[in-house]
Amino acid sequence: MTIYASRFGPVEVPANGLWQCRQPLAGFEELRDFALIQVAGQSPFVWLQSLELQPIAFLLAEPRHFGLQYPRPADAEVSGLAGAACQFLVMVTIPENKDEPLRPHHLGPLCLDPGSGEFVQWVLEPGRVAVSAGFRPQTEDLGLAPALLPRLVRWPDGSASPDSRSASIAA
Amino acid sequence: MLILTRRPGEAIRIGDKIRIVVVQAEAGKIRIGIEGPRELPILREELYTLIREGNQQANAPADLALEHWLAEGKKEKP
Repeated sequence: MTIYASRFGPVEVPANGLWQCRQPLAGFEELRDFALIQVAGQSPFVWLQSLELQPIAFLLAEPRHFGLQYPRPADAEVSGLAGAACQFLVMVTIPENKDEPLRPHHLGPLCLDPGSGEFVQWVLEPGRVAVSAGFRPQTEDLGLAPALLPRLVRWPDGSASPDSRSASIAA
Repeated sequence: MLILTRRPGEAIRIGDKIRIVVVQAEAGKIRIGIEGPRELPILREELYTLIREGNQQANAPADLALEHWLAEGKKEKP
């Protein structure tokens, strides 16, 4: 299917590039369908683009780039998804003040199950996860977890594989 | 808003799958127990608000904000 995203324009999303939110995201309860978009030159970041509202897109990155580590959730903690299959991505806020660091939404990582194409936001109590030490990109490996790659939409079409280790961030 | 009066040990049911029990009430605090489907998200309201605000802040950064950020190298060095 072809979607029109405010940020990217028309984007071709194959069937295996569709993601469904199993439980509504707080503040965005009406949204269920998304695509995970990798833009050439923006590793290690990806976009979670709403398929229902064109302007809605969340910037995501793997928690490891912020020094964050999450335990494996019990299935019930992630709304019945297989906790052991979780591939975590965190939402990232770009501060308006450029002197401030990027902020990961560390209390609400997204647990993505590549097998089912579903994800859920796992909400943790503040004491259960350490505060991020700041953005520290693991420049040796900017690629996403291999399990996510088959469900990634690359934009623009034909861009280099996001699995490549060509760093888009000056180390 | 529906307002009910309950004493410790008494409960409220919401539909046929959710049961809320008043466990203890003293010193200005009320402890409640909630029984429901394991997959049902149950959050303290202040945590829900924190998550919602974080989601809203992460949504749709200004056009080219990431590109500018990447270009200017506004990152912390490892």
